[in-house]
Amino acid sequence: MKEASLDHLSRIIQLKGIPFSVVFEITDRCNLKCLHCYQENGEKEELSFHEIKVILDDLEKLGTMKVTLTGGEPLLREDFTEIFFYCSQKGFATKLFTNATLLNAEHKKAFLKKTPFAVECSLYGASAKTHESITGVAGSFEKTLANIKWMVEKGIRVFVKSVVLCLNFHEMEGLDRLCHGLGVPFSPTLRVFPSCDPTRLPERWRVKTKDLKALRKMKSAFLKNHSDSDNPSGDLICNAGREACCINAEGKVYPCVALRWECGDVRKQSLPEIWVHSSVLQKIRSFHDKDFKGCFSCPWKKSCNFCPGMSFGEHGDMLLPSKELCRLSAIRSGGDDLQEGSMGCE
Amino acid sequence: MEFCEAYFKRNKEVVWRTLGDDCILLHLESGIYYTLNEEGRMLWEALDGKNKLAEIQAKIMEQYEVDAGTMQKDLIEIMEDLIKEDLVEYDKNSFLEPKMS
Repeated sequence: MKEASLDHLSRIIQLKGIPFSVVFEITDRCNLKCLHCYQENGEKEELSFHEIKVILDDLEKLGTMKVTLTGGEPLLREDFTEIFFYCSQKGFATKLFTNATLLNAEHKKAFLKKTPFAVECSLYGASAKTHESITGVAGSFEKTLANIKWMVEKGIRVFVKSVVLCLNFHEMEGLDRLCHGLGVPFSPTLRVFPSCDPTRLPERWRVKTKDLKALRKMKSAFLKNHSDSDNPSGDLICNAGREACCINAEGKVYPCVALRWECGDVRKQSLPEIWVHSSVLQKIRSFHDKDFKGCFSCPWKKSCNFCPGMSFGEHGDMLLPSKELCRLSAIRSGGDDLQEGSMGCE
Repeated sequence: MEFCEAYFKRNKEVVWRTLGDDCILLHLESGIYYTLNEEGRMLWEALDGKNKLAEIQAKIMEQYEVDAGTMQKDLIEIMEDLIKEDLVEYDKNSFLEPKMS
């Protein structure tokens, strides 16, 4: 027996062709109204509990080990605890992405009975004013914070995430200190994805180039310690559609939560059939680094937090360079001649 | 009690998947992944607390042409690792705590 490195695991998983890690959007309803959200809120005919059980049964047979329950806000589902326990029964390491505002007595009892593998929550500021300017719901900051504290106290593995926007970047260092005080890891990202809802434009909330350049010049501790990770190997191939996939609230299947290129529909085909035979997935699995023509020889490749989902959201083509990621990489690489609006954010 | 007379079972805080001949384990508390080879997988799958280690060894030996001494040595080595990493627990229905030689 040996402890497995992630590289070694990845090799086994890819060899066996397994969706090792799956994100399951069990609802697209949400009680918050986050400005930057990529989801279409409450538009779909949600999968029933029976349909969800069939999907989870299939994932178990396919070899999936990690399932992340998310949404929308997954705790809005009245059958959430049933879904959660079913995941546990199936032997999944069950993660949860939640805003944690709705954690009630029933959920807490469930988490004490069966601890989630990890819970990821989002905070968007160190103050209620800033956080709620983004979530759009008064009182959401205190509720999220209180429930994060409860989970930490009960020994649940909690991570705090944030999306850095023009409305909150000035509080990121304060938020970093807040998370440090709570004893939870903090992972902010500058990546704001286009929305599935064409009427919502999250891109307008991105941090302006001049502000990011100013932060870089200040040698901001936040940027230094927590900026989106580098890509030292320069790899352009990720695990989307190869080791991972995403299933949305009405059963549509995607290569990952960010790459919204539809591969199939579990209401029309079984998940194993989609995973093996989808023409979209087969195409994705045939790509090599050199197929990303604009990125392959890019000088900023190793400082780029590359994501084909961003490219697909911008162009409808995952192989084209993302304007926004080019902008962020240029700034991280020290591109002082970069002008506002020249790419990505206006 | 002889080690091989003890009953062991998989720790409930470990999730696992068999992928062909490979077996991947994930300890939910530590977040550490492990892999087992074919022999380890057969042992792991049998650790349900219902069979003594000696009985499990006998069943595995039906699949391999190897002498009992070598097989026992291999299984004990794997069991030591599983115990050390908190992946298994001995079944408290056993009368005595097992002692490893």
